[in-house]
Amino acid sequence: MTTPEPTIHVRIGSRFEDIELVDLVAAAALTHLGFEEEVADKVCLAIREAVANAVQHGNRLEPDKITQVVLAIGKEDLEIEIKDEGGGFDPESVPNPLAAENLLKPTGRGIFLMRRFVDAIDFEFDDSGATVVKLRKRIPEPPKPSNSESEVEI
Amino acid sequence: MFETEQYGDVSAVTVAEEMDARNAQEAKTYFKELVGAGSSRLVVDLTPLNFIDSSGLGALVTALKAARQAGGDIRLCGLTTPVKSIFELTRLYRVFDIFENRAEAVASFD
Repeated sequence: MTTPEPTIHVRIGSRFEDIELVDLVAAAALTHLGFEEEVADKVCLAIREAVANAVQHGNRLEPDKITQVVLAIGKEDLEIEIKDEGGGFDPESVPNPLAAENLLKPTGRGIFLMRRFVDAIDFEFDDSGATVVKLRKRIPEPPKPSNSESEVEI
Repeated sequence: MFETEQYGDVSAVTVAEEMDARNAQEAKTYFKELVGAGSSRLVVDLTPLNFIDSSGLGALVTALKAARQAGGDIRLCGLTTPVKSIFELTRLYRVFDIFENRAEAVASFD
């Protein structure tokens, strides 16, 4: 019998104010898993971008629509799944925000930042039309004991 | 969320600690009203800012376009290390003039 992966489930209504709750939970989980603060901040930013998209574009800020966030702690990776109740979108249709002609556009940087701050990102669309964003980040290896035999001076 | 001080015809706006999806609309409205009231030469002091997301960046870009359309500009100062790295990643340092501190940013309008 295999031990199930630890998972953390957060369900929020679709209000921007609720994003902070997800951020608090994610930051605590990342710290617990040994991520350096600078890396954890970037992963949290990616998560906040995904949740903000779900709340604003997926659930259209309708407070009774639910945004679900699941953090699954695997042996090697942390997987974060963000699901809305919206009508889906085509991530490939978002223009490159680094192109000179797009630098003065007010939107289009969220997915770019997500891609930069996690190891993998995937978009899925279920039968109801909801968007599921999956982010994956490799969990840092715990530091090796500093006073191992090979490091002892004789 | 914002505090504004006048230096002649230059308005220096100090932002909050975070600019994100929660307050981006408020920021857009604030800058729109400021520019609409005739203050298009703006310094935005980001010293307190320790977090900005794509919505916050969008609010600053929207404000920049409004200021330039009104014949002015937005000059930034006081970028903290995490904020500076976001501006570098998104190449927004190419569209904003960025200064170390408020005095330099205000003086750049002379």
